[in-house]
Amino acid sequence: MTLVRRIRYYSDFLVIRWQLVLLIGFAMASWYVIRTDNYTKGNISRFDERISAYEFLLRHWGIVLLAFGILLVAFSIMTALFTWIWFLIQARRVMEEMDMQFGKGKQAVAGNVAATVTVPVLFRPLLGLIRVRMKFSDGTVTADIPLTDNVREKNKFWRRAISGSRFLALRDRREYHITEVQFFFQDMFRLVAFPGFIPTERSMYVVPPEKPLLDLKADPNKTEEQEIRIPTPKRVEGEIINYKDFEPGDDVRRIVWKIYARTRQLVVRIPETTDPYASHIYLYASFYHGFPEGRKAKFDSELLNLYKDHVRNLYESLLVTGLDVRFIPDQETSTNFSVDEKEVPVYHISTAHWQTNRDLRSYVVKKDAGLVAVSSLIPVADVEQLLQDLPANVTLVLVKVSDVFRHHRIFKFKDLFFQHTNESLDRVKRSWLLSGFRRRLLKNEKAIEQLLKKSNVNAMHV
Amino acid sequence: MSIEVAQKRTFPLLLLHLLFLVLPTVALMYVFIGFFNESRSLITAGSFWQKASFGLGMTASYILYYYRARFLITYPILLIVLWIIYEGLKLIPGEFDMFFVVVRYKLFAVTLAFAVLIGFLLARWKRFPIVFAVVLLAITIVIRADNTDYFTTVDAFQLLMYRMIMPVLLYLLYMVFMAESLRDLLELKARRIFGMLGRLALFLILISAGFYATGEYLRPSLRLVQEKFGGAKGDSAGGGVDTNGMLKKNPNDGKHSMRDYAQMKNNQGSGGKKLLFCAYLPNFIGPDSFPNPIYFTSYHLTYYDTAHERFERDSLVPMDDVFDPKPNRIPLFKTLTDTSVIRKGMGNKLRRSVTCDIYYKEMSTEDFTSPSTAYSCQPITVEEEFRKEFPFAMKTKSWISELNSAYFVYNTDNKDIRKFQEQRFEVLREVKNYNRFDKKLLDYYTTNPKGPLFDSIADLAKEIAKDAKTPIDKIIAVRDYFLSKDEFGEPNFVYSLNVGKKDDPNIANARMLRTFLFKEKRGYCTYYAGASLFMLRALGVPTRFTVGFLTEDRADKNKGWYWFYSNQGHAWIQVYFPEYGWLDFDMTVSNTDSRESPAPDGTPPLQPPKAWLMAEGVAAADADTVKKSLQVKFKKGIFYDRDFNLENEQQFEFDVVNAKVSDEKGPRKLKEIHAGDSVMIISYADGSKNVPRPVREMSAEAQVMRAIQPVIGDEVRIKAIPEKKKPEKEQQKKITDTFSWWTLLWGIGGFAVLLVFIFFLFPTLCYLWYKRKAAHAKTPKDRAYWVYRFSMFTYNQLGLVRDENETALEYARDKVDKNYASGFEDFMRIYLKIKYTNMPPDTQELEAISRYSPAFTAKAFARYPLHKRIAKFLNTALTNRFLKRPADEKKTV
Repeated sequence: MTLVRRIRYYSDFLVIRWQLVLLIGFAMASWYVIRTDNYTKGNISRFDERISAYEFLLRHWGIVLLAFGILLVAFSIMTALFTWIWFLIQARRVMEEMDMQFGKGKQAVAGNVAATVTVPVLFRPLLGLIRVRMKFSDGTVTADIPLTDNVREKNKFWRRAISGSRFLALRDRREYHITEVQFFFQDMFRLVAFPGFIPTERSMYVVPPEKPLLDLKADPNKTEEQEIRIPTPKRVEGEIINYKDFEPGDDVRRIVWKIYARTRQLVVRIPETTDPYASHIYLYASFYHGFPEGRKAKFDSELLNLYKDHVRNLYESLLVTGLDVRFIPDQETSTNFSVDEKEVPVYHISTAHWQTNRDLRSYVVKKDAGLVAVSSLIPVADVEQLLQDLPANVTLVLVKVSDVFRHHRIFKFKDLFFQHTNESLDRVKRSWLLSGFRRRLLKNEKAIEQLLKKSNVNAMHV
Repeated sequence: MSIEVAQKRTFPLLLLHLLFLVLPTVALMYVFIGFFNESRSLITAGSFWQKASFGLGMTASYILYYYRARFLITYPILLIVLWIIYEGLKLIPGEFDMFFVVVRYKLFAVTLAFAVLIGFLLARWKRFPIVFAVVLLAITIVIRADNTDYFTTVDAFQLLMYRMIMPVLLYLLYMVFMAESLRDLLELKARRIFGMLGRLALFLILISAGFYATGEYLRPSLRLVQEKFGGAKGDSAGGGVDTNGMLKKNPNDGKHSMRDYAQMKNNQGSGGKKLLFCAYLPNFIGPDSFPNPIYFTSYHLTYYDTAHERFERDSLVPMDDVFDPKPNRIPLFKTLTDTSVIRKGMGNKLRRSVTCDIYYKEMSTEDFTSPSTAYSCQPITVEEEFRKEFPFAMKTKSWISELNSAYFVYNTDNKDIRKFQEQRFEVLREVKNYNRFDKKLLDYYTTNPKGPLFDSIADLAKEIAKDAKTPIDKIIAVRDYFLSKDEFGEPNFVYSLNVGKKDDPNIANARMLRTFLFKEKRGYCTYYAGASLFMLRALGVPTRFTVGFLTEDRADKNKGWYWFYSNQGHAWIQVYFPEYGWLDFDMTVSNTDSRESPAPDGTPPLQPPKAWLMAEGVAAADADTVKKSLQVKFKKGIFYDRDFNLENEQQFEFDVVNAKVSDEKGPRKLKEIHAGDSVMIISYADGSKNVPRPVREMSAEAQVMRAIQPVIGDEVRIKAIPEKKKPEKEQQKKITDTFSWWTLLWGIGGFAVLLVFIFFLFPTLCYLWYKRKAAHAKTPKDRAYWVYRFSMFTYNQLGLVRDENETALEYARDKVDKNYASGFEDFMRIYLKIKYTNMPPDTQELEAISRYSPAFTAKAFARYPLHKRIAKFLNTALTNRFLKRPADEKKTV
């Protein structure tokens, strides 16, 4: 964090806002104009002789308006102060009952993410506002989210909580750990902002967006036991074929007591069957980063976003084949909160990072693999090594991550007159064009392409 | 560091911005531009177009920059385009009209550039509204401060207050509130928009109530101010134009308004020959200094309103060359000048400037009149012996035409005069047509209303002037028509005051003109002026209806002095001649009455010599009655008609041996001047004194500083003598008494202290409340409950906090009784029994309950010295904790 940014960040916690400073300056200037020695010292007998009626009236009215202004401002600040004190008193309850959402839960699609914060028990200052912002574990904070909405239960007049939502530009597909929620109590003129901090431990994650599915050819190469529920007819008593003897390890809840009553034999229903054939497509997607020199965080995250998008798309394209697909992650990811089982692969994809300690060779199990995705960040030698004795029915997908900047414009005529909104990516692109890393990456990418062309594996690139 | 917000710039949101941010700003600027123009005497500078271009420019700019146009590229482009057009316009050939266009364009371009800048700042800089409002407020105050002397009355000030300062303040508050609210409106949902509107309504109510309350609170003091400075009656009578020109009495000074006496019927009644004013007009002909009178103009009626059937002053008249100040509002010796009327008069040939001294008698000092086209007005002093008769005097400057001599204008049969007038006609015959005259102006001044009556007047005019080619011949033809005689030698048109109905307006309307022209052929000046206006306009001659005074030279002794009686109020026409400007023509047939007014009796007032120094300041010490000198500290004043404003207050010694001392009520003595009195000292530039000559190139301030002291003072005017006006002093005291900063600070401080006090007193208050409840409970069940609550509260406050999952009985046994051995457990058992069973408590139990409460407090309190007890009872956190705990033990079971 640069010094300027640090100052800017901490200056937000100053109670007095810019507007108040301006108003105080204005009031002091007015007072300077209004005051005269005679007037303030109460020596009124000569007052009117020194100044014209205009000045007199101006001063008189000046005092009226100044008094009015001061009362108004004082009132305004009081409203914020009281609600803030109430917040301090209720801080524990706020911490326990506060709720935060990305999208409609803990997960949202990257891009403009609707972030919602709902807080009970607090009061807004009269005509004023409570703003909140979330602080993430990496030190970034979100923009202010004004709590403008009232949350009511059905058919009840009194609100249950106040909430606010705002679209945040969260481009990075990753997990966001919220460590703190910052509150600001602002009066109606936004003259003061009383800050308050509530520590919290929440995690949200942002997933790659869905894309048009690809038409993939991939065969299952791995056999796994599958648990498939067989629909059983309702009246099955006596049909011995559906039962087996109870043995230790079986679920006692499956014991058919009716049969036991008749025969004194413990039997259990057999709803599952074991499929003995190769059943699973294993999807390997390597996040190995083979270019440790010249790495820059801003390139990394953009390249990673693109790679994740493609990996998710590959995964979902495989799913529609009807076969079982298993994504094999190449790294440990934190699973510090429960994710629905179905969502786990996407979660893994979303939260993965570029890694440097597990290369392609140690990651991909050639005989199991159904589809292998590699990024252009993997050195061509590694790919070459992989291609050797890779089963012919394995599909190898090259994700050309350098494409992330390809379609992005540098300049258009319209830009001469209008600022366009995606400026941050533009800046990245500009430095991308000048970086040596780009040249090396493109070279590697080309080499892998050539290699894939020559080889006889089922290869494609996206 | 921070995560960006997804900015959504949607069109509906833009509309809301335009409605709630741009529209109020445009509205404010609408008021401000009008105000600015007015105070800079730019009334006819086309303020409508300024406002329109500002509004459109700002809106367009806001839209552009809302969608994130690049300012550093687009704005210079705009400036360059505006500049190129400006340079282009200058290249187009053309004289006056082109100059006019260029000036207009310049104004437009500056306004537009400014508007675009404002729009940009409003769209991009969130704190801009505050800065903008503060700057506007400062400009407003400064502009008015510049003109303070002109706006000395309370009503003028209130106008400023309500028209400018209050709107700016309201705007400031509104924008501070609204700009933020709009920024918080992130999604355009109906619920949110309505929420915002609701808050806005509440906000406006709050602000209005606040303004109202403050105003009411300070109204008494404001009234005192009003009484003090006079003038204000709440509803301002000034400003509005009485289109009938028939104001009966001036509400401010009770005198007869010029408009009252300009009843063109030449009132023969009782007040008909009152002397209104006299004037010295140093305008002479030839080497014999033969007096050359000129009609005195007040205003023009340029437009006939068919809806109301009357002639009107048109506020939108193009090139309005009327200078119409309120003389009594200009401070003594201050010169108010508006040279733009000379330009707007559009005639410089045979013109020159002439100074005229006018002494008001019965004429209202609110009204201004002067020969021909006036452009400057300066109130001056009147010699003491004439002050009673002429309470007010002023020096005016007029841009007069040599072709405007009253002798050229008089409509008479006198052959000598007719012959003299021929000279003027000869000059004007050079003007053949109006081809080079601005088309718009020509249209304005030659358009008659439509209708059969006006057609018939036009037909008549064309018939009369069928042989006339030049404009002047057309005018002569019309004049001759009015002077024509029938076959018996009797005049066709006769001067008469007894025409029409009683309630007819003084200025003849179209209906009356029809009767006059086609039936009765009798009337007075407004008939002739009105009829000739329509006739000349029909003939394509730009004409306007002029109201003022007929100037008559009746004096033999005092050359250049003219006396104006109430029956000299007159109406005539002015015709425009390119290069010569507007020239007077009188069509009224010989009106002998006015020329037979009484000869001027009495002598004209002596003209005081020119004042070279007028200093406004404060007496630094009591007047020295021995040396006859006076020390005066001053900063502002007038030096040979030029205002000066010294950098620092200067103390000058004035020699007041021969000075006349006076105040508003009359003469005063020198010894009555005391230190601190506000005085005005005038020194005249007569030959006997050694006074500095004015140097044009040097600043007035520097020249004042060079004056040799002691300066001889000729007049000392005291503004107020406080010692003599005790009740007033009390009044002044009241003004300040109604408001005091200390009261306000005490109020706010007291409130804050009260809050703190209540905060810390809260536990004690709770304690007393529970105690009272316990003591006054009516049923045994209630009593048991309240004693229980009371005890729990007290123990809690003393520091025995009950855990979340501790039952009341456990708490009593393990915590209270262990610490205090007050027998709380026994009490709890009784309480729980009463609470959970239906059995009524027996007498023993009842006794135990009532005995318990005083006993336990005594025991518990005995453990702590007083200061510790107080400290414990100041701990609001414990109270808060106790009260927050859900009351699981309800009073009723």
